[in-house]
Amino acid sequence: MRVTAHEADARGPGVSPAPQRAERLASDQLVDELYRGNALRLTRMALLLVGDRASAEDVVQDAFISLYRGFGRLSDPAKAAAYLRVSVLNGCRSVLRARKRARLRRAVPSAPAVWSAEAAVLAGEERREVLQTVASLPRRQREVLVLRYFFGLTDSEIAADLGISRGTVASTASRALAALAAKAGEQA
Amino acid sequence: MKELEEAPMRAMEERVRDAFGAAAETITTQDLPGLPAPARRTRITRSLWAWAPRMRTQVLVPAAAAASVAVIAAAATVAVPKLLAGPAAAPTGGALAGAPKFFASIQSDTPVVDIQNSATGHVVSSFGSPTGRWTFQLLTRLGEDNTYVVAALKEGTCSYRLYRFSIDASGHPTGLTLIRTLPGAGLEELAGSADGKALAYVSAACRPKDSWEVGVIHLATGQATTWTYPFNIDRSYTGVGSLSLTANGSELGFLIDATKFNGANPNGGWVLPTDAPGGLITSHARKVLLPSTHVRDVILSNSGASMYVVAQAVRANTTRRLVLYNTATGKPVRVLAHIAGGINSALPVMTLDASGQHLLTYGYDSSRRVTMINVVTGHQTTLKLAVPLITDGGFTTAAW
Repeated sequence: MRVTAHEADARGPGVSPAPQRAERLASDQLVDELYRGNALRLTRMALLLVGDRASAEDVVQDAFISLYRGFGRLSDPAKAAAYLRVSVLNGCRSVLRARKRARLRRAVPSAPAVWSAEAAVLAGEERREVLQTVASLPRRQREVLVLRYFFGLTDSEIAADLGISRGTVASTASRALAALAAKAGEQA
Repeated sequence: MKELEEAPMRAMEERVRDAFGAAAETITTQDLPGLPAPARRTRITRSLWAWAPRMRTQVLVPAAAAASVAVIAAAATVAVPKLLAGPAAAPTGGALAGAPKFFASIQSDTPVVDIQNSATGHVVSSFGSPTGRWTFQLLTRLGEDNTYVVAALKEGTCSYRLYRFSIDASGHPTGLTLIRTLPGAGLEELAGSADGKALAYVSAACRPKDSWEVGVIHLATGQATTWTYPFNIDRSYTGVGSLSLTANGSELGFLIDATKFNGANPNGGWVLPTDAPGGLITSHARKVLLPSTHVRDVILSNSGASMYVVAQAVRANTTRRLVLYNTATGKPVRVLAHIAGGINSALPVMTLDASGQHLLTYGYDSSRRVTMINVVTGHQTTLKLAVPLITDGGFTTAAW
């Protein structure tokens, strides 16, 4: 819910007034367009990182809620798309970390990953093995692979999203691919 | 690891693209839910969501008023494990005048406690858990004499051990002492009183798994009182967190996020006398902060007369404001500082030093930024750490 001007004034000096109704409608429309243009791809990206569709959907929903609340006016949709992507990455990290703790507590069990035999959603043993190996890689390697080979970002864009250097992106990707190849060699 | 030759690399790249594409296509446009209606989600509900993302249909069951707390019959001082070499931090800020010289932290993905120089972020010393089966998870300051409590989780269980330790003048840990075990507690946050006598915690209680549990332990007597708050109300996520205690432990400050509760809206900052009887936490607490969609974190002053609130500015999505509120009137007194942050420096956590004058704030932020603020002058400095302190929000992992 947007803060009204009255509430904003009551909160003291330095508080910006709430955007006017026309501006809110423009923001609503922009967020709606961003959702229609990006939600599917972001959800698919999240799926590759967290493994199950329900968690992936939750992460993306959260990202759009955050976007909606945090932007009074969206002047640059390109930046909003990057914001969403990083939001989803952070959300996925949160899911994976909480899942790890939940396993320690013997609390809520995780849903089977989409590439697992139990889920039986994805056809192809070789594809499942690749994805299982990706899931076992360190977080940064997983993220670099997903951003590069699913999202199709350049190394510069990946570096910006992850807060690392281009060189680190390249070396991380190389190590990840080498790890995948080594695993594939073990299984051959 | 040896890098691949070019041809095998290209082949592996194609296999990865193919596998990613096939998995991605298991989700189609028709599968997507609609654009969500805006809803209040703070750090605390985010933590809950991350723990149990599909709790929307869970039935609410009232919980017992008090829980038993196991007390260690004889506390023994444990030898501090061999110090570990810490990672180098990238120093970007100077010292904050009057602030503690060191802060303790548990950085993301490592189970050790780092003691860092507050001016440079340089790790002075580190230590791990005395036993391999218990890993450090949470940390809070306890007392004025550089004393802290660190909580360790036993692998495969829901049990925590609470250890007390101190930091000496050279930034090294001393006197690691086991003080208590909390069985069945999925700890989310810790808070200690400046007089060192009370410790508060919030947990997503393992049994039953349908309510938050907030507890205050009076360490001298071993007496503990617990309160609860339901996870789920009318299919909406709820949460209680952002714990803080007054200097003498007489009052507990906390933040509630919820959408409905018996017709009233409990959202906001609350204060509870710690001698209140157990039960539903809102029964004996008073709401001191008007509800706002942009409140991120709250912390009580040492006296309890004020509450520091981090709120997100309505338009400026890259900054947060630190606002001082009067807990008697619920009115804002003044804006103390603006906290710069990237677009994803969301959900900050605040911790006060024992003097009550210096705030340490952090969140899950890919820039690994830690901000320190003098709440009297508004002066602030920023450190950039080697790795983030937390990556999933909702956990107290640093203190000074």
